[in-house]
Amino acid sequence: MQQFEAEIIHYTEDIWKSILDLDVKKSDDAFCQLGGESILAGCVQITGSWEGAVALDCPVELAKKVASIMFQLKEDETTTDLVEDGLGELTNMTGGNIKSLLPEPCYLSLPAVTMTQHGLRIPGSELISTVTFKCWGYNFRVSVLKKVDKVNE
Amino acid sequence: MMQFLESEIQQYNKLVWSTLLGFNIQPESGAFDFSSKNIVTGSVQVTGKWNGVITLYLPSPLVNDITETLFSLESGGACLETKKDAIGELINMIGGNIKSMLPQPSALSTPIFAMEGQSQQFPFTKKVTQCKFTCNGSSFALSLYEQELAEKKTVSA
Repeated sequence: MQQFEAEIIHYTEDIWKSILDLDVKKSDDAFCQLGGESILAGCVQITGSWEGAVALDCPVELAKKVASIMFQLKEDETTTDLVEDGLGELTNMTGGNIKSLLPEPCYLSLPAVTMTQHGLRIPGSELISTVTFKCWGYNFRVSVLKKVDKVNE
Repeated sequence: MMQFLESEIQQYNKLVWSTLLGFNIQPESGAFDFSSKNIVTGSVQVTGKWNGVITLYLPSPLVNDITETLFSLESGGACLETKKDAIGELINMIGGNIKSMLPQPSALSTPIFAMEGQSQQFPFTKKVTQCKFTCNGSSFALSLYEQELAEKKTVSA
């Protein structure tokens, strides 16, 4: 089992249930985009005693559904801003929970949301854990990345 | 009206580009075209007493110039990884200088990037400063986003 895997699963299932009333389950599928679909990648960075990032990669169609539930709107009423806000909020909550596992003091950055075809890349960091989840037939992914110590490079 | 830390940002940005790359950049008036598909974005976040994001918006040809100069590459020798390293170094230095003018203690994150055709947004922030510059015939922009405290759509766990 990867580091933080059990916690990522627990927190993600909890957050999606409590905020969106959605049941999400860990999937054994590899996270991959279908037919070049666009991905919204949310990211919060952690600085302090532990340095790294928590990323949430989500297909745009699923992110729209999330925003419509979160802001109680019809799906066609969700603007790009709201979709980004929704994913930013979920990323922030996931990152906040992961931060609680890390040595103090640690600080959480604001969420950044990137529209990408490839998922977000954070140079200078190594992936230490990634878990794919399934929701409504869509796969999304939560990853924890740790800043590489330059001395050891 | 002068924007938040505008003259300091212009001064430090000029200094970093000159010191790191030997490039002479000049402030430029007018709006920057953020909608271009040809833009590469590099950001660092500041957390602590002041919370926000510092973002550099660069056109692709200028990214190539920066990368080739920083790593002494031949023309056309910049690959995706070297470009990211170059922008990362640049935004990290600019961010470090700007951070020193912000309330302490605050910490700087590792850089994140959006390459051509991607977009990068920062929910729950407002743009407090936007500076446009010109370098080697290309325009680029540097923006400062500050966390918005008055949250209009808060969802709590």
